[in-house]
Amino acid sequence: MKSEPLIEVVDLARYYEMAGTIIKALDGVNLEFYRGEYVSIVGPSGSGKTTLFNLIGGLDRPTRGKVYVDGVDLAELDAYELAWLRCRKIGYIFQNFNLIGVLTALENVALPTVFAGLPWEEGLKKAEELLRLVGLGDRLGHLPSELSAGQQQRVAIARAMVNDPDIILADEPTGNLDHETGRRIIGLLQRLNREREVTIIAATHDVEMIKGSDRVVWLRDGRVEKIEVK
Amino acid sequence: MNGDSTHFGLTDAFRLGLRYIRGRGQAPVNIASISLASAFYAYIALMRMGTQTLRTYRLWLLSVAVIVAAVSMATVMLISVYERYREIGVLKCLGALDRHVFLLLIVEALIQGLIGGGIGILLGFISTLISNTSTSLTGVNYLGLSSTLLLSTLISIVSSLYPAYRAMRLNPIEVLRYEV
Ligand SMILES: Nc1ncnc2c1ncn2[C@@H]1O[C@H](COP(=O)(O)OP(=O)(O)OP(=O)(O)O)[C@@H](O)[C@H]1O
Ligand SMILES: [Mg+2]
Repeated sequence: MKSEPLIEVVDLARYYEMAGTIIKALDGVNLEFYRGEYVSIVGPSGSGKTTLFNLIGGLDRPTRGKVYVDGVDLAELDAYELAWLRCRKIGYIFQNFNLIGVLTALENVALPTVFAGLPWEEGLKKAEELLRLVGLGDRLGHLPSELSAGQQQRVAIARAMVNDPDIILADEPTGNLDHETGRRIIGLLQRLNREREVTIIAATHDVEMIKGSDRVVWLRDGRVEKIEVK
Repeated sequence: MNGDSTHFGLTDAFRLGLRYIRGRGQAPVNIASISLASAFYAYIALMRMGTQTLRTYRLWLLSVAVIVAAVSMATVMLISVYERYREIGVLKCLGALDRHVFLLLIVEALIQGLIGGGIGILLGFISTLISNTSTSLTGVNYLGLSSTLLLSTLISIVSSLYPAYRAMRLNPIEVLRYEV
């Protein structure tokens, strides 16, 4: 039933050289992600989760191996096409939200639509819709500093969704949240995953946060330790 | 993927740049330093009368003010870029190209230069009125006014070139690596 993978990672490796020693942040990872999946990537600190996301998002180039998104080899893309990929195909969610401090919640969510070439008014309209969807319809004009951590992360989720990406990469989205808020954020991501059929890949080192995943990928020392299918 | 890339035009840069200027604490410092230089300049432009020594003296003041303004502007822009490392990294993650980041910072410099120049002209008028009651303001020429604006904008942009270049070259992975 599952046909072509949306993302295909083949023998992916990323080495860093630090003071003469080679650090193998990723070392020969093979993974496939399918459309509409919710996949958790679990691994201790330093296991290579962020490195993997950077390579899938085209922010970094691998030492060895390939990343295919929608069948396209990322190594073949130039800086312009990679920017387009990050803007239209992939949404990012970070541990510390990374909202723009001088923009309101509404403007933060609308910002990626500017890069996508949408007129500002239309972007704002889309942003408002999404903020309502994540339950922040009454916080449109608030600055990030005027929002709680959980609310900021919901703004970030809306921002990641605004250009209708196929993929959302969430790097420890609950790392800076208390347990209960974290669970609610994961619940929201899983709801969006079902309702909007967006593929979500979420990294975490908290095994509490993997409930409800379609698959769980366990990383250790830059390698896939095991893959659990739920 | 289809040869398309991302967009970020002049209007977008103005919109975002204005938000940054409004939300930035040290903006008054930039503006004050530029207006200081501009004030001196306007002062000279308005009062072309006076003895030779007085004119030389004013020229010295102007040069010092211009240098002070340029250096402090460059410093403040560098600090502002440094404070925004993470946000610039985020912009790049969201699809900003290097030249988009560069454009944003240059537009911010342009706006600050214009505001600074405007304040400078006002200060110039006031200092003229205070320091020399015998000079009437009918002698004000538009050339003096527009060159004041031009000067402050130029100072602002030229001293922001290096900070903007630094911002443009930031590697998003590096700046986003350190959480908290
Ligand atoms: N720029 C770099 N230079 C040198 N080493 C690096 C660099 N980036 C990552 N590493 C190393 O690569 C390894 C994997 O790092 P990565 O950030 O991918 O781990 P992670 O699983 O995301 O960890 P965490 O849970 O702490 O975020 C680590 O040992 C790290 O020190
Ligand atoms: Mg990480």
